[in-house]
Amino acid sequence: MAPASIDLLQGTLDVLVLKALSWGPRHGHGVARIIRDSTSGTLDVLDGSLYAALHRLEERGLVEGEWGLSDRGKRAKFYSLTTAGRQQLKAETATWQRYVASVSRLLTATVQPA
Amino acid sequence: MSGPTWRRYLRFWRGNLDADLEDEFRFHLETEIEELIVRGMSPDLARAEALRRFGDVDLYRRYCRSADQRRVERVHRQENLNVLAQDLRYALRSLRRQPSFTAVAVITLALAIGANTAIFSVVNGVLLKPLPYREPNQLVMLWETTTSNDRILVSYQNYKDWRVRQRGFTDIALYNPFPSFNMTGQGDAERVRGALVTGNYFQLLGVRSELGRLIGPADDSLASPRVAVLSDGFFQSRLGGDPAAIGRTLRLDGDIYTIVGVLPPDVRIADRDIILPVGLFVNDPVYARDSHPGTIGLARLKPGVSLEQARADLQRVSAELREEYPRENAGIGSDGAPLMDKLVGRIKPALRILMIAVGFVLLIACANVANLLLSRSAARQREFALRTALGAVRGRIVRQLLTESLVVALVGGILGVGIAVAGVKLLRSLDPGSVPRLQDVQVDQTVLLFALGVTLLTGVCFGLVPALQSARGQLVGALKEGGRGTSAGASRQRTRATLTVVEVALAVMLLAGAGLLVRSFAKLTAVNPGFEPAHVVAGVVQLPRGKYARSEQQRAALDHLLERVRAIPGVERATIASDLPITTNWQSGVSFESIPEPDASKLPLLNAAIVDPTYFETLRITLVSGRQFAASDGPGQPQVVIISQSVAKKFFGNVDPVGQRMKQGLANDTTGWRTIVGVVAETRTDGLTEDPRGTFYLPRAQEDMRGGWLIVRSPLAPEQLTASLRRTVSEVDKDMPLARARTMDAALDELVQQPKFSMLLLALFAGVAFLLASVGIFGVISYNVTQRTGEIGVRIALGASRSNVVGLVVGQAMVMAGAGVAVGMLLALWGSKSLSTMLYGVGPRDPLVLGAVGAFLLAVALAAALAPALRAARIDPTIAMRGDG
Repeated sequence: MAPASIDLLQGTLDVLVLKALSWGPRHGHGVARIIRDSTSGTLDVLDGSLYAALHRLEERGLVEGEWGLSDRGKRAKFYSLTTAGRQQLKAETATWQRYVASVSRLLTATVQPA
Repeated sequence: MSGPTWRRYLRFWRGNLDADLEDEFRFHLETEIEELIVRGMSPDLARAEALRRFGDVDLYRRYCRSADQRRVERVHRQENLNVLAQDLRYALRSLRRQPSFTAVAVITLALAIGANTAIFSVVNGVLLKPLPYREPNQLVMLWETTTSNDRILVSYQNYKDWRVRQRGFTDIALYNPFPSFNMTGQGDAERVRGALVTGNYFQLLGVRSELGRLIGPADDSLASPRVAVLSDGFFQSRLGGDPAAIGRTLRLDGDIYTIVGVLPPDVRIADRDIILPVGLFVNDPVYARDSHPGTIGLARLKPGVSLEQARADLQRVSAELREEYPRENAGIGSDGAPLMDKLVGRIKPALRILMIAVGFVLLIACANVANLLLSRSAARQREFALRTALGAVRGRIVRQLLTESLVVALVGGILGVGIAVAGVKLLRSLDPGSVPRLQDVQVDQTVLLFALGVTLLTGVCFGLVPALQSARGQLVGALKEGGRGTSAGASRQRTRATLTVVEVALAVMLLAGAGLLVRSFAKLTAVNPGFEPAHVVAGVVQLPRGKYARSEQQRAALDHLLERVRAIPGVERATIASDLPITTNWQSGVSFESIPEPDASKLPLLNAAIVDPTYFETLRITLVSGRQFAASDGPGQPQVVIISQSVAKKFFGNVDPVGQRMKQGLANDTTGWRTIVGVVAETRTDGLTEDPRGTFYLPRAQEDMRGGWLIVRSPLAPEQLTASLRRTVSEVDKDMPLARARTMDAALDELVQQPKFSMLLLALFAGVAFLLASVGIFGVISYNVTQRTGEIGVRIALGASRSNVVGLVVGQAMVMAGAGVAVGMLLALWGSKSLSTMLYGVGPRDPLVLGAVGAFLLAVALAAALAPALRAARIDPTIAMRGDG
């Protein structure tokens, strides 16, 4: 269903979206802006795949969508984390950090491990 | 689950999902474009850039849309489960609150569902389940015919020609399920029932052995080594299911047979224990062309050939054989029918009737429970009104009530399956062999599915009417204190009365059917068998083969046996005969000297029996004229014969036949003439319901006889007598067993097993139906009295006498019951024709039975109405009119 390029990023993208929502409810465009700004454009994420992630997370009950008004008074769909989403973010963050630590330990090693 | 709730969600979601997604994407793109323009891009460039950053809009739209769809569906499911759980909780609570209602409803349904499931398991096992053979629908049973008899057994020599010349069947096999053997060398000598089959028999059926191998073409000749195949039952019970039994030997009639295999448990060759190749015996004169000895044909239709075509082709072969063997095959034809029809055809009408009967019981049970629910929902009117006022949708209340009735039905269904399991066990024990394939009957998966289906259908059936009635309840009237007599109440009253009339009508039909069978059965058992069965025991003895080769030796051995038996203290009379007076296994065409008949195919066919001179006095068969056989009717003496009364009447009218002569076969055959010396009363040789064909008796001393039925009259207890007989028989020859010993009463009883089976079951179901209908009438009347307490109070206050009140209430009951009886009578008159094949000596519209049933039900209705009527008459008007009822 999802295009192959999305699949590659899917797990990571989901965590990023969850993280973006951890500071409070946001509409899709807001989520896109946070991810683009905070990664300074290193991650080239298509906006469409962000929406795919949002709807996927909503289906899994990790985020909740609700219609409201944007700061410029337009009708927009705001997403917020559910309790399950918050727990998922925590778990994924921990896993990610362990993964990064292990990978960088090896990549930064100067001596061949015994 | 359907209903307005679902539709509301549907409208809500389906309409919005697409539009919402469109809005969401548009919002994103517009915001993005605005921001890019703010940063100085031209609107066109900004638009292109925003779209580039978004990617394939259509792709993501489709992806998001399907994710949304899945989410919404899950929400629905959850929603429905929640409602169901809530309904279930509520249903259980409300059922617990009314334990007596719940108990009555559950028991009623359990009985009805149990009866239906039990009978269906019989129908399933006997009629529906395919036979355990390959392509059982292609299997055809074959037999031969004569001009006067449309079904006789197959001549072995004709069979051999059939096999070669016919073209409609892939093959024809032959089996003979009648022989029995003296089995010796394993404890006491014993008579075992066997079957003989041709070498292609198992191959044709497509049966594989459970153990070892089955009989094949190589075993089927005079020169083949003697081999035997065992039934699973015999293998388990007699050889302990020990596989090492393969290769062991059995001694049957003095010959040694090697056990080569065991049949699968579900394959039963006419329930015989030991199967032997027929080819070992074809030297026996009974396998000559003019002999038709116990052999039944079995054939498999060629693919694409119809039964009609194959039958016609076989009849062509028979016509050829008539030409080629004019003497042996005079008038001999052939015919066939599907094997399954032949096996179960006789029981089919009875099972159909029983299935209809239990269906009626189920309908009555539904009507009853619906009635209960109606009065209950009347009592709950205020509850529903309140819930409606508080915002419950009508569909929600209907759904709630249906959940309740389905819970009741399911509990009833579970208990019903329990009843069915017990019922099937009972059925099996009730019937010692008149129902074919009864061993195949069990509560299996198909039956359980049937029970589930019936249960659900029942739950919806009896639940829907009251549920719809309730939901229609009027809000204001019901909420008002003491609100009564609303229009909903009146329509509920009508519904209940209708249900009761239907119940009574169904009960009348069932009782009429049962009454007819009971009356028919009474007539059947009252048939005079032509002899006195009390205090008579009979059993089969057969002189071992190998010994007693000559006729004189056989005669002397049987003389000796009778002498020894007569010497047993307490034995009054003892005799021996080739048949019991209730069966016949030997028919013969005869010629009378005074009535010449040159055409062999037109010879009258009579039953024949060889008897000891003491036969008639032992069984107390009346001598009508002439004399009995005497000791002087010996081997060298003039040949004599005794005929039964119907033969005398048919062929000699009012002339005394004593002194006339007759013979077997054509008048110019070489066999000698026999002088008729006596005429005896008729016995029921062809079953109780058939008019006897007529019998001629030959004296034992002038015929070959290797054994037969030993018949003993004695006041001794049957078990004691049987034991003494067994001992005496084995003292005469240790290799000779006494088989199939039973009292004559029991033997007669076996003849009426199947009618008895049908009658008992139908009577049982009619009883249940009748009980339920009575409960129904009682319930409706007493509920009416409760409802009309106020009105009755007013009547009493206005001067109506107690007897007026009783009359009013009873009258109402009798109108309902009368209507039910009238409708039921009409239906019974119309439907009882289907019973006619099962009736003996009573017409399907027997006025006595119908009248009795009608009167009986009216009397019960009267009794059921009296208690509520008397209660009504005792009503104190001051209390009644105060209004609360």
